[in-house]
Amino acid sequence: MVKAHSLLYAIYVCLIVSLLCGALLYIANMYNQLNIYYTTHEELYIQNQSLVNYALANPNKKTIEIEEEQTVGSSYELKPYGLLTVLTAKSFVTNDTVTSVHFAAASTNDKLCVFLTNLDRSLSYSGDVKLIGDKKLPSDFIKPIYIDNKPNKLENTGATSVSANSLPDISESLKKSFTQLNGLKVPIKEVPQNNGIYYNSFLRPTIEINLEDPILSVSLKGNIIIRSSDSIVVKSSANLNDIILSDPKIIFEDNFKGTVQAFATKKINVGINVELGYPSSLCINNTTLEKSSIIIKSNSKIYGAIVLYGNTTTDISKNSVDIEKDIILACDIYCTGELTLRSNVYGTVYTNKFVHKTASSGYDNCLADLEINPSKRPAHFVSMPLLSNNDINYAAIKKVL
Amino acid sequence: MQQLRRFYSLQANSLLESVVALSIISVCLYIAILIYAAIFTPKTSARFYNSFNKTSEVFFTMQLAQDSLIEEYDTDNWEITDETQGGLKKITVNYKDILQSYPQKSFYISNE
Repeated sequence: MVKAHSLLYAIYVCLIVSLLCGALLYIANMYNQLNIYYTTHEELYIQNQSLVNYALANPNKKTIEIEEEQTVGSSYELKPYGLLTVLTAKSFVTNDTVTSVHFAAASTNDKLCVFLTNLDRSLSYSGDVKLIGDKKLPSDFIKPIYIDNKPNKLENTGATSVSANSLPDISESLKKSFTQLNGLKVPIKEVPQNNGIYYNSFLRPTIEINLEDPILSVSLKGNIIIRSSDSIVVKSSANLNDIILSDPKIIFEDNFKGTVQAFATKKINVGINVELGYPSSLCINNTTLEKSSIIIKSNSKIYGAIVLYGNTTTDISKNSVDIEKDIILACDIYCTGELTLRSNVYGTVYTNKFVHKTASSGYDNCLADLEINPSKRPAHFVSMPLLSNNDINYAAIKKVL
Repeated sequence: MQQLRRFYSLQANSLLESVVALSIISVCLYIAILIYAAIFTPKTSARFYNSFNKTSEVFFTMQLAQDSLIEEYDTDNWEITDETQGGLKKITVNYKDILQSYPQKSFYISNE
């Protein structure tokens, strides 16, 4: 006969132990789940960055191609966005995906300082001029011109070679970017809004907004193209980030700040104290016989590229880029017309003709009191792909998502 | 004496009862120890995650400065192989310490 006395105690002990074990199992399970969540996410983010590196070196593929089986799946695609390329990279495991979007551009190791087409006069200088880097000029001698009895000083490093009688060809992607500027036509009211900022993600298709009123004073961010019937006036109160503007005439009012790619056919005016952050670009494509111009007023900052092209060598005087004093130009300049330069350029300059104007007269192909120094580009600066080259190595410019 | 007898009315448990009770408790403890052992493995220790993350750290340091930092990993514990593929470098990292080795990791960095 078994008496249930100490058996009862045994069952109590069992109950307590099982409760403790249950709690332990529960906590351990939580701990494991959390750790698995963190490690898979960490792994996904690392693999995603690694995938971006892979994609930049292999822009023609769609995924990482290796024989062994991978735990983390991957896919990516590159598509044009104005002058830039948008790289969308996805890394995924069974039920988790990490997506990143970067602006990228074909990286060039362009250390050229100045390219002046071999059309008529050779290059001359006046005042304190610094030309750092290799040069392609009509003749390898840069002669001094004495204006207003100022002393002349030229700091010239790098090799000089004789230039061709036409500028190097502009890249196909830049030519295409003028024709490919289109997206889903959406009225501005239907664009998703967050804290007063209209935003369209780079994961979604590009949208195109047609302005009824040429004055633009709203905040816009992301994958958006803005058009108008004739001209766009960007107010200083507008807040534009990674936006494309496309119109015959584009005017940036004084004190505007933003990151914008502007594509015009007739005119781009940049007011006083305007800051166009990296990567911005000002592009004009003028294939007509009419005049076109890019005018940049003083105290502005431009990080990216300034491009004017499309005209033939007979219409050089009808197309002009006019850059005033005290402007920070961390950009490359490509101009098939006349270039009036009064500020230092930290980048490469390609032009058919330099113009220097004083109060009394004008001098062709003359540089006065300025520095052109591509080696002073910021370390992270990736030049916009202006010229055609076969380099397929891309570099990431900016993470946009 | 009468009173004492009244207080000492507890009966001794039978031997069988004690044996059954002890066996129930021992089975219970056995299961408890099994669970304990299954949960506190080296793979779930904080030290494991700490060392495991060191292999991830290699990715970020390699991205920043490949050449100057590679010497830091020049010990017996690390085995880092790189394979150049055009403008790209595939890096495979193996790490072990006194107790165990950690899962291998591989990733791509640009070859500048």
